Amino acid sequence: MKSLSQSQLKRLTAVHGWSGTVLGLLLYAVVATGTVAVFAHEIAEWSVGGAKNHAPLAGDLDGKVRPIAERMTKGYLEEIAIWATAKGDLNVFPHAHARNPESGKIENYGTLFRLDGTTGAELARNEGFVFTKPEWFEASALEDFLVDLHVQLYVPRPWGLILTGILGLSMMAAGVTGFLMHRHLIRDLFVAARPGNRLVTARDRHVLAASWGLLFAFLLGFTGSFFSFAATVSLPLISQVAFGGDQKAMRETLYEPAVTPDPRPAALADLDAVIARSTALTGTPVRFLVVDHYGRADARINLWHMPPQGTLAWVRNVFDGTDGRFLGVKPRVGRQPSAGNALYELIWPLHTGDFAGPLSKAVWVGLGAAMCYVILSGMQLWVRRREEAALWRGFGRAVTITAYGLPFAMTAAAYGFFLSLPAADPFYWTPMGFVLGALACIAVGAFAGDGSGLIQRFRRLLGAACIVLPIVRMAMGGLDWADAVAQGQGAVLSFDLMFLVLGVLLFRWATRQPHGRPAGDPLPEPAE
Amino acid sequence: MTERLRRALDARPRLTRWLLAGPGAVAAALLFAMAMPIWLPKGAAGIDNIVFPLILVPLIWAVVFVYACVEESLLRCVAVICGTAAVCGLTAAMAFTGWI
Repeated sequence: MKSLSQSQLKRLTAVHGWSGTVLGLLLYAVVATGTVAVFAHEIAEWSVGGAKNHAPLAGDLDGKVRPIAERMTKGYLEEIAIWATAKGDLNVFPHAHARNPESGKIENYGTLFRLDGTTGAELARNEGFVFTKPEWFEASALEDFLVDLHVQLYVPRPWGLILTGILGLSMMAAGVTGFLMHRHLIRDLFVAARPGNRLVTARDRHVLAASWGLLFAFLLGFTGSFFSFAATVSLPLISQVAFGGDQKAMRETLYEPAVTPDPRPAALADLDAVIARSTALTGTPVRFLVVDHYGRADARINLWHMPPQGTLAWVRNVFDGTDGRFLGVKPRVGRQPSAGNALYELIWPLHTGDFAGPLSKAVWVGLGAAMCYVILSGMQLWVRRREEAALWRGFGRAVTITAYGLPFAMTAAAYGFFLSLPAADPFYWTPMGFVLGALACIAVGAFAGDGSGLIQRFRRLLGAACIVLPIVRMAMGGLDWADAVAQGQGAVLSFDLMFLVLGVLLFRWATRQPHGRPAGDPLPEPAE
Repeated sequence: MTERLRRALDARPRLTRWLLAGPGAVAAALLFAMAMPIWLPKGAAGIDNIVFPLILVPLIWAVVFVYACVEESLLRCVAVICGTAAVCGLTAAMAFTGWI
């Protein structure tokens, strides 16, 4: 590679440092919440005390759905979406598409039935623009909050998505400029941090973690900004040129299979037989099911399966709704396999690590945690080079507060969720728990002592919060360990143990002297 | 003319580079992506010309952004980024109005 001139290196260093400094705290928030959200589904299962039924879409689904469909008015039978919640309940949602006066957009309007996944008994029924009310269709307010925090930083759409998209771009920028600044990338992969508590020691650690995480950072920034911008900015602009702004033509070309309209009445094929056939064809369980045009001759049954062995992408099988014939596999985009679809299907597993079960997710969590370290150590490095100025020392303190305050606030959100479960609204108290936790950390950071004492106090606080959380979960009526083992609720036991281990490690860590001095504790050292 | 433009750009190098790497890179990436459906092959399913630009927008931005950071000649940088954006914008506008 052609070496860069001094002026080019200077510019890249400035871009790398300033982009990290200006957006670093928000970027850390997105990456840290994303690291947690990798296990969003498992967190949901843990928080609701495990799934009562692990396969509510198997068994007698037809007997649960058909009676509901038969009593709905025709307008609501345009689509019936069926899926399981983390609790193992069944959501059955016959709906039409109507313009929501609040958003001005065409959205799903219908009646959402929540059924017991085993018996089919009706547990709840709500009518309206269902997907604007997470409490109607989500089982876990905690999962909903954490995912929302990661996807759009709890800022309303589309601004939250645009913000996280910009943060994704800044992550790419930091990765690319960091790569170009590296003159010895291979050597940096194996650099041993120089001993002591010097600036070069902190730099070595940052460089080592960043070198290993370089590709991952670029991948996360790229796929994340794609998800943020695709629906909000890129697709509306590109469809203006490709389809002259015709949204219907765009949807038909990209997403909807071609169906010749046939409104003649016809009975729906047996859903259970179709599910069994689809599962046998794909080899993985059905996770989501949509019946189009129930009761008509042009009815279609769409089934989404988890990725089969050796593949990365989810599979969508389409069956004729009247005679149950298999019509084929519908690609994610387009109507037949293509290079564009193959690339499109890669984005989700690459962003979430959801392609090889808990193992790939655990690798993504590890790499995500390493990225958090890279972001925080980069900001600390930046501050240490400027800590003669009071402003930068204040910023360094903000970095320390955010570094520990964010995980503490996420834990506080879990407390808000569990404590409100018996008598209050978890969808209100989960975000409120996060806010209260964040405020508590800001108060501790603002008024407690300086230096390494502050870090140790934060570690003890976070450690205590982690250790007490499983106890609070069980005290609020959650599944105990004996029942979790007996019922095979792996997520419940794993997360409780993880919190306990994490708490103990944080307490032990609190007794050791931190490696990096906080920026509120200035010590003159030569420029390195 | 070129010399006057060069002198004007060199008089405010930081501002010029900020504009090129900031709004310039975003605008150029979006306009480039908007023009891609016109010249990219549609592929077997007739969607490649839409899906590729949709996915590649962040990568295109990264290329323009890094170029705006490392290019030594500001005049060349302005010519390349603004020229690309103008050609792509014109092509996209012509496609939108049905001229091509």
